[in-house]
Amino acid sequence: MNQKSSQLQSQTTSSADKPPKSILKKPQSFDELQNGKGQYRLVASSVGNWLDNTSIDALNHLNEQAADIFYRKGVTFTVYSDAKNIERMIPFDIIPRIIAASEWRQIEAGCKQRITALNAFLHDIYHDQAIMKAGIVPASYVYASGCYEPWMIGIELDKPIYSHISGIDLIRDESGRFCVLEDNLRTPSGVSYMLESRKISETLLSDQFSQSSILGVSDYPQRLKSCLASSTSKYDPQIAILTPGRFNSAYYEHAFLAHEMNVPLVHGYDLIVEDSKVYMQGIRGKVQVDIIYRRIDDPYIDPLAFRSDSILGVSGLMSAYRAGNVVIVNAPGTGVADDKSLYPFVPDMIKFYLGEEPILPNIETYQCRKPDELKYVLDNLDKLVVKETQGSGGYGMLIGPTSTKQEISDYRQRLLDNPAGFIAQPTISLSTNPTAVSDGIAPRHIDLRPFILSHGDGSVDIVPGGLTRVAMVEGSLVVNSSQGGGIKDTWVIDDSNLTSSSRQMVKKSDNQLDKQSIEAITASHSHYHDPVQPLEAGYENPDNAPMILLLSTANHLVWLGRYSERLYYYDSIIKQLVKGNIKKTQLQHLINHLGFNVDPNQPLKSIKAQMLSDLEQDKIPNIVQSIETNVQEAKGVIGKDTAELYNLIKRLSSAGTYRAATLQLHACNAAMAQEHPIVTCFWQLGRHFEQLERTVFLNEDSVNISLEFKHWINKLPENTRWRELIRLTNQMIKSQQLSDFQLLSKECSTILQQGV
Amino acid sequence: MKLQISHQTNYYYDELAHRSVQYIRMTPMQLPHQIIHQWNVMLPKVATSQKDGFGNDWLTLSRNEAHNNLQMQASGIVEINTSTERLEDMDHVPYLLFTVQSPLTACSENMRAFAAPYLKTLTHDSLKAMAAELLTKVPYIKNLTHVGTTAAEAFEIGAGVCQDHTHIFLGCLRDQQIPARYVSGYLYDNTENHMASHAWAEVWLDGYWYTFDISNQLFQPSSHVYVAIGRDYLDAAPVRGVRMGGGYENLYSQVLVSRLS
Repeated sequence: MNQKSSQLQSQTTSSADKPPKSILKKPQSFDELQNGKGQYRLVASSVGNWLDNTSIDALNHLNEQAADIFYRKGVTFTVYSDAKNIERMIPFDIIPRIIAASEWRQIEAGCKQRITALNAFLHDIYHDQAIMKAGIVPASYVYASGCYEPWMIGIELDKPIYSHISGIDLIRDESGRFCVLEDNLRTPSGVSYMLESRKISETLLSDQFSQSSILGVSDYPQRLKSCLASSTSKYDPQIAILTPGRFNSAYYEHAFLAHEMNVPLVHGYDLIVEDSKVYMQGIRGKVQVDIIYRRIDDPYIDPLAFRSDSILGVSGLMSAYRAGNVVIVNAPGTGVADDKSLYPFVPDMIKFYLGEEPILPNIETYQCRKPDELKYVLDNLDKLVVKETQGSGGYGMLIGPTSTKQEISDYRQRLLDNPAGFIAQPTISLSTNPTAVSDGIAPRHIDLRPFILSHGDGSVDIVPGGLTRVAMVEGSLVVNSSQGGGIKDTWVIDDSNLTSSSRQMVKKSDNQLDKQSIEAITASHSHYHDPVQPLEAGYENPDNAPMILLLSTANHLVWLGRYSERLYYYDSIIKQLVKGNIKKTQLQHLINHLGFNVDPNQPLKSIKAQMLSDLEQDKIPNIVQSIETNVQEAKGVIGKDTAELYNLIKRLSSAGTYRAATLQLHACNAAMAQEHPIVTCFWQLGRHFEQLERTVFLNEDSVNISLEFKHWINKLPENTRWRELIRLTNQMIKSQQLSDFQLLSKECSTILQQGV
Repeated sequence: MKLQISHQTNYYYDELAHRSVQYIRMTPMQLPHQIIHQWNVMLPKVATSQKDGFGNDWLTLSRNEAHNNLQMQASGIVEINTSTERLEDMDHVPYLLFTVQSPLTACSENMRAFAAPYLKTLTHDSLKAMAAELLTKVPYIKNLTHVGTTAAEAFEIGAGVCQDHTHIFLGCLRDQQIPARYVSGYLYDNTENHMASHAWAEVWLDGYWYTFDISNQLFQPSSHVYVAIGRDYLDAAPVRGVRMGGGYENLYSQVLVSRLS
C-alpha cells in the first residue's frame, strides 16, 4: 500500500509544475476507493490489497488485454465531430469503481423514487396537467422545451409507463454525497459497456470475484426483456429492437441487446403497418410486433406524423400506437421530462406526485431565463458550468474554470442571444477513482449512470451497478465518451459482513462458492449454447418457436455468401496471374461482369500488372468492405464468435495482408456452417449462386453446382413463394441456358425485396 | 348556413406502387358553431378511424397490394353559424401549446421586422392591419411555393398560397409568445364554387380564438368550415402519405362548396 500511495503522491507533485487547475486543488474531490489519508476504504480493501501488490506495468498490461478484447469484439462507437465519423474504441480502465451495497440501497431507492415521479409527470402533462394547473411547473416551460409531443395527448396507454428504460447520471460531490446531474429518458445508451466491462473484469480479475461478493449485473438483458414484456397486457408479446442502422454510434449495443434477448433487430424498412398493426417482414411472411424498443429519436419514428424526410422510421406507426396495437418504448415525447430547463422542478414533482422528500438531491441550478439568475450567471461565468437545456453528450457546454477568456466571452454572447436555452450550475468537483495511467495510478474524475427499468405494473428494477464513466484527462470533468471519456466496471460489493476489525474479505461458505463457481463455469461457456435465434413469440414451448429471419437479413446473408465466394475467386485469380496462365474467357468475364478495367489486347505482362494492382488497390478492399457491411447488417442473427472471426478479416485487410484475410475467411465459413440452419441456408445460397453465375458466364458445366444450389433451395420454408425457385432451378438444370439462370436470379431478388 | 361540400383528391402514379400508407384528415370538426349533418369519406379500402392528439378526426389508409392510383372523396352537409365572431378554447389542447414554433413557422429577421410595428400594442385591429399588409407583401400566387416551403422562405419569395400566408402570420406572432394556430378547412365563396382546400390562422386574444384568413382578408369564420387544427400544415394536412414505388405522380384535386340554405 505504501508503495502505491507514494506513486499517487509523486503524481500529484509532478502535476504541480503544470499550470494550476483550480478545480482540482480545492475543494478536494471525494475519492471512491481511498479516504483522505490515502487508505483504502473498507469495502475497497480487497482491491486495495491487489493494487498494492500489482505494478503499474502489470496494470497497463491488463488494460492492453482489455483493449484487445474490445477490439476483437468490435465494441466501438462513432464520434460525430470527427471529419469522417471514425469508429473509435472506448478507453477502459481495469481498476474498478466500488460502491458498498449499503450505499447502493440509497441510490436504488432514490432512482426508483425519481423515475416514478417522472413517469407520473409524463402521464400528467399528456392528460390532466394537474402540476401545471397547480402552478408548480409553468405550462410555458413544458411546451417551450420543444419535446412536448401533441401526438401523445390523451392516449390511454395499456400500462401508463412512458420512460421504461431510464438512465440517471449521478455524481458525488466533495462531501461524498450522491447528487443527480441529469436524467436520460429518451433512449439512454451505454448498458452494453456496463455488461462488457463486467465480462472483462471477470476474465482478467477472476481472483477478485472469488474473494468479494460483487453483485451480478449479467442478467440485465433478461430483466430488460421482462420489463419490455410488462409494457402490454398481451400474453407473450413479440418484441423487436428498432435500430437506425449500422452507422449509428450505438449500433453495437442495439445488436448486442437483440442477441442477448433473442429478439429481432429490425430497421424501419423491415416493418410495415397494415390496418393499424405493425408487422415485420420475415422469410415465412409477416409477424406481428407488439413492442418496439426503438433506438431512433422521436422526430424520425414515423414520417407521416413527424419529419416527412425521415427514412429510418415506420410509416403509420403512430396510427398503430394510438390504436393501442403496439407499444413504443420509450414513449414518444418523454424528452420533456429530461429537459434541463425542467430539471430544477424534479424535486417538486417528487413532492407533488409522491408526497415524499427527494432521496437524491439535485444540483443547485440557475435558470438563465430568469433575469436575476441570468445576471448572477453572467457575473460568474468563470466559476460555473453552463449547459444548453436541449444539449446532451457533453456537446455545447461551458466549464468556466477550465475555459479561456475567449471561450467565456464567446459563450456569453450565445447566452445573451437566447437566455432561456441555458442553465448553469456550480462547478462541482466530481469524485475521483484511482485509474491506471501511463506512469502510475492517479485519481480521475468519474460519474455513474445506473439503468432503471420501469415495469408496466409500476414496479421499478435496477441492476446493482451501472456505467461508470471516467474523464481520462487529468483534472477534466467531462466524462462523455463522445468527448474522450473512458469507462470502468462498477462493483457493488456486499458489505454486510464487513467490519473495521476484519479487513480481509469474509470467506464464503464452500457451499456458496460451489454454486457460484458452477454458475461462473456455465456463464463462461455461453458460447457453446445454441446459436442465437430471434424467436417468434406466442409458443407454449420456446423450443418449438420458429426463428424469425427478416427478409432484409436473409438478403444480407445471401450477399455475404456471394462476396465470400468472390473473395476466393479473386484469390485464385491472383495465383493464376502470378503463374501467368489466365484464360481468355476468364479475362473476358472479369472485364464484362466484375468491372475490371483492362484492355485485353495489351501484352499479357501489362495486363497482369494492371490486374494485380486493380485487385489489391480496389477490388479486394471493396469486397472486404462489402463482407464487413453484410456481417454488420446480419449481426442480429450470427453468433458473437462468428462476428469476431469476420472482424479479423477487416483488420487483416486494413493491414494489407490480403492473403491472410482470405485464409481467415475459411475460419468464418466454418463458423457460418454451424449457425442456425436457416441462417446457414441463405448464406450457402449466396455462395452457390455466385459460383453458379460464374460457371454460367464462363460457359462451363454447371450441373453439379446447380444440384448443390438446389440442395439449399430445398431447405427454404415450405408453402411459400420460395418453392417457385425449385421449379426454376430444375428448368435451368435441364436447359443449361443463360436465360433460365437470369429468370431464376430475377425471381430470387423479387422475393427478397417484396416478400413471400 | 347549410353547405354541401364535395372534396375529391385523386393521385395517379406512373408506375405500380407496391405499398402505401396515408394519414387523412378530411372530416369536419364537431364545434358549437358547426354542425355536421352528414359526412362520408370514400376510400379504396377500409381505413382505421381515430382522433389525433389535437382531437382531429384522422383516417389511416394502408395498402399492401400493387396499385397505380389513389382516389379519395370526402363529401357531406355541414351547417355553420355565420354570425360566429370567435371560438372558445378546447380543454384537451390548451392554447399555450400554440406559442411554440415549428420548423415550418420559424420566424426570420425580416419577418420579425415586418411584424414589429403591428405587435407593439396588440389589438384585433392591429392584427387585421398586419394581415392586410402581409397580403400586399406576399400576394396570392400559385405554384411558386410547395408544401415544404417554410414561412421564412415564402416571405423572401414574396408570394404564396393560403398555407404560406398562415405560416408567416403564425411565425410572427409566436415569435412574441402569442398563441396562434393553423386551421385547415373549406371556404364557401358565393362568387366561385370551385377551389382547393383552404387554410387560415387563429390568434388567441383576450381568452378567445380569432380568425385571420389572410388570403381572403376575412376576420370572422362566417363562411369557414373547420376540418383540422394544428401547429402547422403538417399537423393538419388533408393527406400525408408515403409509398413504395409508383414513380412520378399526378394530382387532381377539387373542392366544391355550394349553399343549400
